[in-house]
Amino acid sequence: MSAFATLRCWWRAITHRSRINREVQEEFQFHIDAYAGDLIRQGMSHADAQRQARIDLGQPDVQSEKYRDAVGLRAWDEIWGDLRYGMRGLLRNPGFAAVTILSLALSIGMATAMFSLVHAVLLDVYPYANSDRTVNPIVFDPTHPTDWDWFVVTRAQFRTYRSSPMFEDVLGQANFSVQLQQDDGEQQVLMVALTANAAPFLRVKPLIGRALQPSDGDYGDPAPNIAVLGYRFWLKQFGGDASVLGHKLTYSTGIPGEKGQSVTIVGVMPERFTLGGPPDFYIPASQVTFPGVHIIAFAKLKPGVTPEQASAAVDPMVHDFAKQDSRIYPQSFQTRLQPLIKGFTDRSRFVRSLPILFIAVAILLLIGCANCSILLLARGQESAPARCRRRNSRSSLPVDGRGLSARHGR
Amino acid sequence: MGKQIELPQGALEMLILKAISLGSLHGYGILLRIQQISGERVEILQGSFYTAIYRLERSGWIAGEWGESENNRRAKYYHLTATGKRQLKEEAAKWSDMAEVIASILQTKAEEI
Repeated sequence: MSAFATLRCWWRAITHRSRINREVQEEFQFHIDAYAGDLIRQGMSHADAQRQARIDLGQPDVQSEKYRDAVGLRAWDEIWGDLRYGMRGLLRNPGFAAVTILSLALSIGMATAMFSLVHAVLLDVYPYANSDRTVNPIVFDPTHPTDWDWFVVTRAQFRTYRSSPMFEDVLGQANFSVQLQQDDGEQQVLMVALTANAAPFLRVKPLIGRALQPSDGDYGDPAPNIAVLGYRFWLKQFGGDASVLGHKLTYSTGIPGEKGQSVTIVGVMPERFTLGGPPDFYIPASQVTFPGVHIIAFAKLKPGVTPEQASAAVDPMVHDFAKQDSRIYPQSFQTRLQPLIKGFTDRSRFVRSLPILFIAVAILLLIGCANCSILLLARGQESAPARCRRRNSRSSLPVDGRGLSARHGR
Repeated sequence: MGKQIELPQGALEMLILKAISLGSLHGYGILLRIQQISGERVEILQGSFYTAIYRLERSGWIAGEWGESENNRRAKYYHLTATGKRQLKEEAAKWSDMAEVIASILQTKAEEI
């Protein structure tokens, strides 16, 4: 069966509907007559033959329906008929139509806007790969479980943490406030150092140039002296100029005796990539030369591992960390690994109220739909279906003659 | 005249293609020719006959043209299209293959296995 032939047949049957129907009926009438003619030749009377042919074959006027059914246009005819019926109803009552469309448009518009917000703020917050499995560790006092805090680890502790069998991979992030040296003086900026696995861990494509890559090295590896800019910093500092690649940045940590470090810009991250702040630029961990680095560890759980299982597994490890440096940990605490989003939702009242707002808007949409169906029902009560060609029940009693004119005037 | 047989699915379409391949015919003529060739042994249900014709036309295997009938009336005459000819050849080969295989299975005796 060729699709082209089918489409041509449908096109003809739709655009030349009445002619095709006429032809189908004429063809069938010919068939009936030919059959009746044969019956007459076999000795039947003319009237009997015609009657017998109709009984055996059926009526020609229903044949066009059979035709449309056979070529597969029945669904089209039904939908098209409903559409035309609906359009006629709308045109007959433009005021009613406007009210219905407006109320539905308002509720749909609100629900869509709200969903966009929820989607951006709650559902698809991070551009990072598998961000639903990515957790960061917090510690909390069991007597005040809602009062929790992030904590940082040393390089040695990071290596220990990374080796936990609960994790697929662990990304280390260290923030530094450094002085950026420019022609017109110094500026304090936020610099973030990421471990060598940043690219496979986050899987975010750079906006221009390249992102950090595994060959840029981890803590202790040879330093390539490069930097990848954050989107906002790129806009603010370089006006969004794509020719920034290859330029050099010089920064100093401000530690007495340490000279400035010069790095080459190799890329810019996209707007949504704001890991760590948003910081002004990223460097590979290999470029961190100073001791006493504080690392925030993001872990990607192995598929199937729950945050609770992982929390229980790393808790003894974190208590060991606390013994090494008790200053940054509470007196008594538990460790919890929580999804990235949690740190955000727990600390913003606006974000916490979003789901409630969303439900409210969804209910508004429901109410809008209910209003429309009630309006339709009420109208259906008032006026009988169009098939009866009767505008309202009074018009069936032509007491004052207005009923008749109302019926025929439309 | 032997016992009438009911046609299996898809057979009616093939018989219509075959009937038209011998020369263009109107609907009633197709019906008569199939009955004539089969020695009146094929029973064609009225309801399915035109449905099959319409479907064949939609698929582009047969095409209809209006012409004059034997008794000077307007009638729609069908002829095979190029794809229809190809289709008939394919279907006929498929049917005879199938008939052969089924017949050989049915004729198998216990000692042959």
